[in-house]
Amino acid sequence: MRVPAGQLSLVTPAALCAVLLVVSAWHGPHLFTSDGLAGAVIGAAPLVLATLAITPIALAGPAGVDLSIGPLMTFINIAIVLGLPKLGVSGPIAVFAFAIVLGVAVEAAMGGLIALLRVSTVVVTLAVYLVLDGLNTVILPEPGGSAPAWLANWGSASSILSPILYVPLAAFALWTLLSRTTFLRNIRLMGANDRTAFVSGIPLIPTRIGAHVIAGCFAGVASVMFTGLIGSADPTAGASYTLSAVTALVIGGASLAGGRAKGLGSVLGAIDIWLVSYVLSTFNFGLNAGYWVQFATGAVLVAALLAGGALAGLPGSRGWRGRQAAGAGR
Amino acid sequence: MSGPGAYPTGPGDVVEVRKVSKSFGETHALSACSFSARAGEVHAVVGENGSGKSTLAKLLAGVLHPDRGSVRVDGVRPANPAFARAVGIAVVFQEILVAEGASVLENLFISDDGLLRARLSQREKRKRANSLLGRLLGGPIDLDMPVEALPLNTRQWIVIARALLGNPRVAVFDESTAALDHASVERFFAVVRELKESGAAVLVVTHRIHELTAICDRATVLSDGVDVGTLAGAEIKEERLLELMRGETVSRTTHAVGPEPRERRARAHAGPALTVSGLRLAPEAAAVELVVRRGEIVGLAGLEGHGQGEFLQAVTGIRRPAAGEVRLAREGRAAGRTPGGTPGRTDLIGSLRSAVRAGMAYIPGDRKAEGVFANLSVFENFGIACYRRTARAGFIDGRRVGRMFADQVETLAIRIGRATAPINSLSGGNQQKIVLARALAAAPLVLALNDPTRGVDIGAKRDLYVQLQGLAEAGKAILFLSNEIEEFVGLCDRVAVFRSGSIFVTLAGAEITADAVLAAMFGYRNRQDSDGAPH
Amino acid sequence: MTTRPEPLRGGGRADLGALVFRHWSTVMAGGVFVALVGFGAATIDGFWSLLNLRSNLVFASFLGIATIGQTLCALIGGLDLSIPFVLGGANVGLVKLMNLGAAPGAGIVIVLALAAAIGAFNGALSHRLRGQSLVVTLGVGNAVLGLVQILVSSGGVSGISGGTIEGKIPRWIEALSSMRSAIGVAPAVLLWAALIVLTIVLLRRTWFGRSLYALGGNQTAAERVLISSGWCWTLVFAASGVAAALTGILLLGYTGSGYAGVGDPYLFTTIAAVLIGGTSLVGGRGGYGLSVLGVLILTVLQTILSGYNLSQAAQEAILGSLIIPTVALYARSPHPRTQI
Repeated sequence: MRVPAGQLSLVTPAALCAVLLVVSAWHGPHLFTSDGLAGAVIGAAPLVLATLAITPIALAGPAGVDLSIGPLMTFINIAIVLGLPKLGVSGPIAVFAFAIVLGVAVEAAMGGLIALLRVSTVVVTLAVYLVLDGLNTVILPEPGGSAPAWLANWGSASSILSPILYVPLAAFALWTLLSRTTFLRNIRLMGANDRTAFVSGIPLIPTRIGAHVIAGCFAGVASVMFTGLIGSADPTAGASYTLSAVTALVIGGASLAGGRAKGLGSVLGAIDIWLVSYVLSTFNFGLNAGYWVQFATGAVLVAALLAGGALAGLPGSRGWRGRQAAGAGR
Repeated sequence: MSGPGAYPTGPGDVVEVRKVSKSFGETHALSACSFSARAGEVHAVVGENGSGKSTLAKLLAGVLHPDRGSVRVDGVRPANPAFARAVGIAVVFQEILVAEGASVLENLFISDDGLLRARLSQREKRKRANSLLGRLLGGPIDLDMPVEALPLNTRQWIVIARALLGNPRVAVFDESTAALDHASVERFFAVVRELKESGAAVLVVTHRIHELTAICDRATVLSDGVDVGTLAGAEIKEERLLELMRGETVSRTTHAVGPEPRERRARAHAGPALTVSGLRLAPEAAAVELVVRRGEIVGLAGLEGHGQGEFLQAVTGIRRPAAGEVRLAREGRAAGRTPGGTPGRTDLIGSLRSAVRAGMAYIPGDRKAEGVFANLSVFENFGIACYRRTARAGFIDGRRVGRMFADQVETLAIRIGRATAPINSLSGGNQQKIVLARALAAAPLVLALNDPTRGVDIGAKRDLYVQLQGLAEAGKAILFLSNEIEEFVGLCDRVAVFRSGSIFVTLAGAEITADAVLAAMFGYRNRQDSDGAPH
Repeated sequence: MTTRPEPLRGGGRADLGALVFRHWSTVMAGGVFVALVGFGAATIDGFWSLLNLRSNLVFASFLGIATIGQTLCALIGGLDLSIPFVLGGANVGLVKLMNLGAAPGAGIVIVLALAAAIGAFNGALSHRLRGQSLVVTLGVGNAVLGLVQILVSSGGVSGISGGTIEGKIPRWIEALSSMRSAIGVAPAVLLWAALIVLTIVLLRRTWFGRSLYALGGNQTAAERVLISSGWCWTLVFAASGVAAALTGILLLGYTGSGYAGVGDPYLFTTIAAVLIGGTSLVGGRGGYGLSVLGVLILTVLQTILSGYNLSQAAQEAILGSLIIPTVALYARSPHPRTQI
């Protein structure tokens, strides 16, 4: 059967999305009003962008999970809310630029460490997770502060045709453009088989750092959207965003071993996770809502891992010719 | 013919390798090797396992750098793979390096595209890919197909095509015909001829000597990391090549590596210890039948990638074969004759665990990968295999294991300092003895040794041969895989030479000479039929 | 290729470095501990008081018990990110069980058994996914804590508000972590001491313990000597779950009420204790005795830093940054060029 590489992996997130939409239509039809949709876009945008941010790192493999994404987002969020006013800056362009620069700086530093020292991505990002998580609470112990006025306005928009939609759309469009470049293709090839990439002349270190730079850009934009969503700064949101983004990534079909991930899959996965929390919110769990979301997200991640999809692409057992063989036709 | 060490350079030399040495730890892949190739010629590089052929290819590709000496292509040093490609060097490695998850088209043009944009348009790429692959494969192919869905044969062609698309000045094919079927090989040679006509220097690293003679202009023989001679034109004959491969090794070593030939008494208990029936390593490979009797030492030989290693692993239960069974005789009290005089009962081996329980011992030679625990002490590297079965209520019986350890150290003459020192403080030979000791501590019936003298000094090697002969005389059955041909002589009762996943020929007794084994590895059953095609 | 014979040597370059590092880190850790204690005694009033020492010991025992699991996981090359979640889950879960009428002893048994099952699942799935323990335990941990909190809040008897749950804690559970005991030291500390002996003996003198080191050192070689990597991963993570739950129960006695977030600091502190003690995250080297040293250092450090108003968050940041130089030193992968 003629199948372009990677196409099949979108079935899961799309099917899940359809199911969740049906459930929403039944139990929480408010979603399909103009107001509801606007709220959905505002609510989902940070997660969609965060998941897109960790996608190139998953592509670059191996063990390409960026655990630091949540605390990084809140770190930039705090910087925007607390730091920018001190610099006397608050315009949209300045805020976006600041967020992106900060995101790129942190991610590039991580990427450089991982590429140059050839150490495990997941362990380094765990370290940065801890560092940023601690730092966030040190700088701002309790949620507070207020976002720039224009950004807070975005966050309270009631029409879907507002910047709150344009930004994620533009980001996805950017991703689509990027995915057509050879650079992203190089990242993917490096993640699929770093030996092949190396002998084919792909420069491994710049490519890996570049993947992190892309991640940093999207992380910065995600953080701006997050700031607009909550209208303030919240140092405690990091942990749950990491969990949600990683789960969205896995649902979207990304392989943790590297070389397989689609932007559309990540977007769908993020929408799925947001829909899960939306559906749960329609059940009126009250104070328990947070627990339900935590449980559901963790359970979905475990289910996705159990299904084994997270390791698609790893070499299977070898035939008698050793590394050369993977079985004729398999 | 030019002798060893001399590097005849002349006008038109595109590739110049001068006195290059390259080592990996204690392994010296190349030692002051020199080599040259001209534009417009097909130059073969021939040698046994470990002669340095692949290392040479990697040096030319810019993947590795020489420790000493210089590598120049068109006067330029290939500093890294990207640079080498830019200079016009294309190398097809022994391992088929495709990027899984990417399409055929993407795999073809990995090396060609720039950082952000492709150099060629999609349409142009498809046009070239279709025409080239169509010619190479003898038929059209779907360029968008994911490459991992394709058979090995096709993947090899894709890697070759990738090399050709760059219009290389120097093309190196390292065992590229290994995965190709017969019809493809002809097409491959057509490709080689075309490259030659376009003025490129084509290096073909191969063991298929018979094919070489048809197409190459010159052939250089590597042995033990040194160039031992280059033949040109009509001089290129199988016997000369084999002679060069063998001759240098004998004259270079100051004393024979092989064991002393020993007379062995006919064994009284010559019952079969290990019976392999109908074993296929892959669905398309031929079946292997082998019986190893008590007291026998059977050698396993073959060029790299021909299945002898996988066979050994299938016999020990580490690897599951495509078909067939392996049976081990039950010895000791349980073994006996069933009524009717049929041989004693046997145990079927399905996994390493069942094999060990039945009396099999697997002794790996690749210490780093599967033998030695670098983080544990000398004693623990031995004890780890016996802790569980000698434990009392879960606790290690230190005294008992200590006694076993002392016994083995004495029997095998292992030179150790403190038993609690880290294993890395021992020489490679002594480390290997520890690995052997822990296998022997279980009193196995059958020993399967996987290249046990790799990275081991001569003294320890001789000790090992003596040990093995002693064990055989005590009634054990031994499978001995080795990449050093001389080891088989005088040590083994039989040698099974593997080709293409099954036993090509079994040499026995006086037939076992280094020449015969080498020839068999290259596909010659009988040195007499030199004009006949190898099998 | 030829192979030159190697003379009997004192150690190659790589293992010399590892040897020095191993002992250096223990010596350094010991020195740091002494220095910290000295610093604390010199600058903080009442540092040497019996009360302070006793309370430090109790805190240390909590961390110490939780670190048992993290140490075992690190020895085989994994990490358990579910410790904080299982800890918190056990903490509130036990209260809920007792509120529902279960006998405290039975409640403890149930909680520990569940924790073992969760841990076993962690280990088995991580093993199946080729050692991806971080992502697996992250998912499982969150699912577990979320589920526990849901279950605890249902039934309307007494649920969670703001993450805390009230209930009648039996005197004897409280007494476990109380410093006002007749023996002079809290029973929790004695429990820790017993577990220290048990763990060290397990790791040093039993075949299972040595198998863990072998597995962490060279998985393939371990399988060749018939060590079952699947069982090791399952049992080790199960033990980690039990240790985390035990810590949660002891903390319950200490604070007097259940709080789901009580386990949060234990993520970075258990990892930091393992690292500071000198156990490698890559596996095969280290041990629990070293982790005990790491725990003691952390406890004293926390006391001192709190005296200087450096919050837990700051400690998290500082200790988290320790991970990178540690893996940089001996968890590097080879360059692809050597793998062709």
